[in-house]
Amino acid sequence: MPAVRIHPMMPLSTHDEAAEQSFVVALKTFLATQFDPAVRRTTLGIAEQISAAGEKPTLQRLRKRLEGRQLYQNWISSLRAAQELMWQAAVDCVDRQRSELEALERSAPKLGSLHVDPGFEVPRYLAAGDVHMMPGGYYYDPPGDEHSVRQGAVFDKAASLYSLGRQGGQMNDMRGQTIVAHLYEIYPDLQPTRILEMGCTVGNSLVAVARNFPAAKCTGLDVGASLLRYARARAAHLGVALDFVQGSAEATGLPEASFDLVYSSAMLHETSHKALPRIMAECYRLLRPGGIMVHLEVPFRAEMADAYDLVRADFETRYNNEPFWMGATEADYVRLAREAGFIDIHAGFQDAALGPPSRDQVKGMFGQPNKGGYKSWYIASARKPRQ
Amino acid sequence: MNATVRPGKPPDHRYRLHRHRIKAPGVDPRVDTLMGMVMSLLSEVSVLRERLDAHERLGAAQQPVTPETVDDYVPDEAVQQARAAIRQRMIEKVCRPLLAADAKDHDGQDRST
Repeated sequence: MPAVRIHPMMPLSTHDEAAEQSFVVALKTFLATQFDPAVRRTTLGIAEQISAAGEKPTLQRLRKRLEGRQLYQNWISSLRAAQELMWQAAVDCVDRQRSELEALERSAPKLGSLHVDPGFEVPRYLAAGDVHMMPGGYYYDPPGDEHSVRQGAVFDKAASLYSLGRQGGQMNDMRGQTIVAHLYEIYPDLQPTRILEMGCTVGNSLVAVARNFPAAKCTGLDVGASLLRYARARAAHLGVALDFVQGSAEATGLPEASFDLVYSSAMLHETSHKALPRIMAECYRLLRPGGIMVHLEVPFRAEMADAYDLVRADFETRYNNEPFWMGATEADYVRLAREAGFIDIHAGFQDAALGPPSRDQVKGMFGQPNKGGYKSWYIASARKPRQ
Repeated sequence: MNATVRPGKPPDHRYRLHRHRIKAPGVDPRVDTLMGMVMSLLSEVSVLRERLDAHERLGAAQQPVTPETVDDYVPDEAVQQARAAIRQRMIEKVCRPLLAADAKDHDGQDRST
């Protein structure tokens, strides 16, 4: 069995599965480095023509002209095919060893806890389509399969492929480290003892945050029981005690004023326009006075986008099943936080932290120009008034 | 494409296909289907090529060549690099016609309507 296992829950790959996964990574890299620039050239050329005609190159106008281009049609088809292949490679690998993974979940150290709600109703924005084209999405749990860790295993296996290993390798924890760097720089007085991550998926960010704040009791919230079952076992095998709760970020059901830090990591763009103010209000309710809210998002803002950025974002929105991608990158987080009652509000680009940050090396990482994917993240953070 | 496949739970269609796959305007659904099939086939060829590579290297080292020894073969860094080069060449070759559409789009003809 050729793969190196970074933690016991990570599905192992056979010789052929590793070859298949390497192929997916190579194909996605080819598309990103060869095909995306070609579509960029074509799109920017079309935008110039539109501007020359005295019109604004809006997404609608760009799309109308691109849809007739064979290059654009091929681009959409091949990106989708590569993404579907990626999930299939992860699904096949996980399904082959499903019973072993379930046994590993049962034998995981008794660290942390898991609370699932059989009556939980998944928000419509997640149930309507499988986000990222992942079969079953974040939430699917087959009825009667109370030991399933499948969605978590598929997500974890694919996550490093999805980002081509650029989000912290197989631990996939760069976003968690980046949030810690932000906290160290902007809220240096924060010494959290109770932390909540909304939309924690398999807990990859939460493990990183917990290790940086070892005195804190950390809770992860997400919509899928299978995802959380895997997350609890993954953390426990890594020696980290985390509590996981099934629920929605809009109404967690957790007690008010019960956390010093509430954060999310690339979750808001998976929600909706209506959900955003509700999530902000829920963060406010959950925080104790003086507590901190942090939301990390993709390094992209609609108001800064060129014509190609819009077309790329449109692909994510329409074809990669991220219906709120565009909406989230247009949202005014400063206003939303203010309206929810927060003060000391910050919003801007944060340099990515590649490993556990140290407090004396984080100065100036926030408020930087956007350096692009996996080098920067967009962060909105705020404090609940002390009184 | 595993040499050894163990029976598991029957596949659940919710696990095989994702929900909500919209038709892309301008994209011929038949071409879209073929694109998926060609990419999947290329993936299988790539896996087969690596399996053949393992056969050749085990044979050259006068090691036994069985389904199990091929499954257990771990490519070292040099072998991984050699395989990456072959993979890259295959992808560039098969995808070349897709990118050739870029040149067509720049031949001055307006295909935007």
